[in-house]
Amino acid sequence: MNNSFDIHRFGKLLKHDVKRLSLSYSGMGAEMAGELLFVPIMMLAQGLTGQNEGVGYRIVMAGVMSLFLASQIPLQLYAGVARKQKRGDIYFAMLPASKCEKYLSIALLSLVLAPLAMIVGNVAFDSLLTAVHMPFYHGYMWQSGVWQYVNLPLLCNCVMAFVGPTLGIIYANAIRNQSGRRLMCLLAWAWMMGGELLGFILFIDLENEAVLWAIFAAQALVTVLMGFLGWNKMKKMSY
Amino acid sequence: MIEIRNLNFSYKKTPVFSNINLSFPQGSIYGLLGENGVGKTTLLKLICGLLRPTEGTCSVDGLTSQDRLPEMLQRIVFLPDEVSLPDGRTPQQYIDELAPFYPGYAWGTFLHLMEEFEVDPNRKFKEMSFGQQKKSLIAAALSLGTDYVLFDEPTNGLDIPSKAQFRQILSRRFEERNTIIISTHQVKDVENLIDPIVILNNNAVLLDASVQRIQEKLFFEYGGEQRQDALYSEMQPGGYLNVIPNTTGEESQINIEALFNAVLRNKNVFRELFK
Repeated sequence: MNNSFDIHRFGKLLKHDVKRLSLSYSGMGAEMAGELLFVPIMMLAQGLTGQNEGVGYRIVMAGVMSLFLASQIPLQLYAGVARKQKRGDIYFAMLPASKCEKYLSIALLSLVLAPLAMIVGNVAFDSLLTAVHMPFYHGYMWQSGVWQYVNLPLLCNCVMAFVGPTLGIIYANAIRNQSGRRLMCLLAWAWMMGGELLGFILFIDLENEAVLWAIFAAQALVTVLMGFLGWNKMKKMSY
Repeated sequence: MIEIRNLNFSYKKTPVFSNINLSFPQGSIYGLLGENGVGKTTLLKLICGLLRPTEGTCSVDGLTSQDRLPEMLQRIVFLPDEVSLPDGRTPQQYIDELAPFYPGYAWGTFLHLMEEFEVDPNRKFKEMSFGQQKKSLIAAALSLGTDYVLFDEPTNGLDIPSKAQFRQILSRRFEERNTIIISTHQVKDVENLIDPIVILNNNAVLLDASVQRIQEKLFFEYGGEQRQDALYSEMQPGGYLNVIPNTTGEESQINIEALFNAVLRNKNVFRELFK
């Protein structure tokens, strides 16, 4: 087992994985960012036309956005990843690194680096919304109005519910050990569910409308569903 | 050397290999032939450690394949028939990602091979034809500098000039330290390239012999009458091609397709002949 972990090789592997996955998902990320830009554009239009007082419109828009994202993103991800997955497994399995290094690399990516990137994206996007929001609402708001309802942290979790286990599966499958793969998948899923709950506690005003509960329930349902799909896919995996 | 000892393998309840023994010493381009579904790809995956034997062992330079130790993976490259391509990237980017893991990688070799295959290394995979993608991956596999290269149906999707290029490149790039295993059912594509020839069928190895040994044991008679003692006969323009036991010691040009058919039709005879 003296070759099970080599820090130099692990560094190379992590660099490789970050590069490969960021490139693989850059197109999807750009698409998602493009879709999300719809929100500040609508806010700007709303502000310019003077319709900046009503809360109802924002809730409706938030609901539409939430449903749209909750349905589109996982579907796109699922289609894209499933298409590439089986053949991609061999590539990862054949990379000259130990099982331990592969496992740790994907764990770090799925459970730390990818969520970190999501949080940075969240902060950046919310800052953009706040900047657009400020001129029309006469003052600085740390969290923009619409986003309280769409709630990016929850959406991120929803996306991650799929991405995490899937990435976990792809890499974990490079580990020729079924229990190792399952553990990887479970860890990713547990992280997602934890994030979901944390997002719920931190960002939702419990005194607010029932619609928030509905949005949260939809997002949580997608999380569970995607987690289940990921788990099921992993069970059927073979090279 | 790749060594397979007392190997048994089955997919759930479907047996694929039953107690097979094979050795692939360095310094040869092996042709792994067989009908569809006999287990050619499975054997390659077992050699790489992508599948685990039910019983027995596969090893590469003494390292057990199924352990997939980095030391073993550094020495072997496997190019499956279908590969996951990083669509948004170029072959140059693809090889740049892989290269740090392979100490024997030669940058100049990759560019040279891409030039020989007439494929631009800076063009995105998604903008290439299937044949160009395949040629890029073959160039990448050969430039990684591994001792063992395993190709699964490498000529699938290649046009006629590209198949010729593939044969030329492989012949030219081949070194004594290399072991190349080509699994294919398109035997014509690798004729005059592979030696020894391994033929698989129904859980077993039907033939594992060098071209010289095959020539010693068999005679390929072209353009004559159909012979009653032929192990296999095939009508061709200008007469029959007969595969007969070589009783005179005369050397003849092997026709791999005819050899393949002869082996499949006379399993027991070949077992005795090449014992």
